[in-house]
Amino acid sequence: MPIVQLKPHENAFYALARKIVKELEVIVLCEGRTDAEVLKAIIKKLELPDINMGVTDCEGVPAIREITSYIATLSQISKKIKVIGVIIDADEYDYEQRARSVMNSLKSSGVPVKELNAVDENLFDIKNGKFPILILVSGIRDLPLKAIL
Amino acid sequence: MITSLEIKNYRAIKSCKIEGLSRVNVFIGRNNSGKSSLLEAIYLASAAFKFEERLHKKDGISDKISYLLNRRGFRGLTWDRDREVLWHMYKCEDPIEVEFVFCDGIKLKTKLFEWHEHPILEVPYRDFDHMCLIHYGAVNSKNKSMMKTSTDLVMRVLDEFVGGRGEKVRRFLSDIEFIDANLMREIEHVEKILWRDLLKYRLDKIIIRMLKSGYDVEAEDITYVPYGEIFQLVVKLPDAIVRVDDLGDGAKVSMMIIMVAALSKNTAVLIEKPENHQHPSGLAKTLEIFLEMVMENRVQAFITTHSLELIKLLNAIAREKNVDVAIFFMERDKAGNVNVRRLTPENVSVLDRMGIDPRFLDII
Repeated sequence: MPIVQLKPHENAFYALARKIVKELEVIVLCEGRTDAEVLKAIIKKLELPDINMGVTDCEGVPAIREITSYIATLSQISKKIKVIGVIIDADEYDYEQRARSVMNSLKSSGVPVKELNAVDENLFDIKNGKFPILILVSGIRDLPLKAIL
Repeated sequence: MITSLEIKNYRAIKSCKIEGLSRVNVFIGRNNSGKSSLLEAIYLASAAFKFEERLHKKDGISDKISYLLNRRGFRGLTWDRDREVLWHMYKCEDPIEVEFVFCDGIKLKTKLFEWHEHPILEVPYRDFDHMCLIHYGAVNSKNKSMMKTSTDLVMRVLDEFVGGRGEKVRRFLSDIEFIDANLMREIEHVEKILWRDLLKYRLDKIIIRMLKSGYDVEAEDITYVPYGEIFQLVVKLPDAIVRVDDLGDGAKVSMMIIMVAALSKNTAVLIEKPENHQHPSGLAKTLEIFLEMVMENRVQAFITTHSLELIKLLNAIAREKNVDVAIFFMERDKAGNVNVRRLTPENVSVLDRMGIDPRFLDII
């Protein structure tokens, strides 16, 4: 599975200019750079069908606002993307609250989204007219040590 | 101003529809996506209103069709013998069509048939379906006949067809100029055509400003100096002169763009790859002055480029100067149908933050 790291630009530039990757079917938007690295490492370990995937992150900027602007732009101009994945930290919220805040932000930006469906405890699916948006909320809400401390 | 455009059967383009045109329009896309064909098609349509070629005179070329036939390689192609090269896949059974929609909703279609050596307008009159503004006549495209009429009649029919704006539309389309790489090699001819008017309105000051600020040339003035039998345009420096021909290529490209833009009014300017030979600071200054001209003279710009620097500089300067810019990504399928995606400057900025270079938009 070819994975294209989109940021920084130089990482993707040579692959795209040399047409090593001609099309991205999936784009995964990660909150932080580490999430992107972990994701790439996991994907390499798994035997996944041959899909071209782009991975990017919102390092250094408020994640939900940035992810919203990415999805809003992609839903306006993309013609080939089949799925958008979002990996976001739970922070102090519960998983569904965090996923719902992404959906509400998309709605207020005018992205046509319908309801939020829970696929798993921390995996959610938002139906969009153009492509499904899968939100994976990562992180441990209650640190085991917290109770001890 | 043109708000949308549809092209059929011209060179690389089998069909292409572009909507949402702005004051400044930038076209990007891979090689052979139809960018040059798009500019040429607009220029071809302008030949329906003014057939004579003004700025490109290389090898005795006198009309726009001859220029378009030869522009990609001066091999002496002629309409009589070689006209098929203008058609998509050399199939000239169907006409080349360029349809414009203007901001007031006026629609006008120009067509080039292989049996008529310049484009005509799809404007009905009695039993005729087209009007010819070059030979002043009404044309029946079914039996390929033409009835000569008067200038007044043709203009009156056109005027009625476009809701009383015939003269405005005619001027807009007839005055379109095409700035391409060939023009660089014809600087002497372009000077002769433009310099008198530039001096008359003292627009030479703009050129001097551009040379000083964009190219570090300590230009004080520009004047003509005799060189043997001929006169040449020279830039006056504090202690010397330098022929315009001897300026760097970037400064010459910039001069050409600014000279044409300064004299264009209520029309469109087509510019092919203005980034050629340009250092970013020269390019930035050229774009800055060009956008001033665009606003002052109400010019609509159509620019093709491969340069991300140009897109970023243009967006930044246009934002400062409050000029509307749209970027169009062109993608051609195997059949020659060109798909166009419109990007706002905001879209480009978000893509940039995401790590997606807009020149590779075909990946998503």
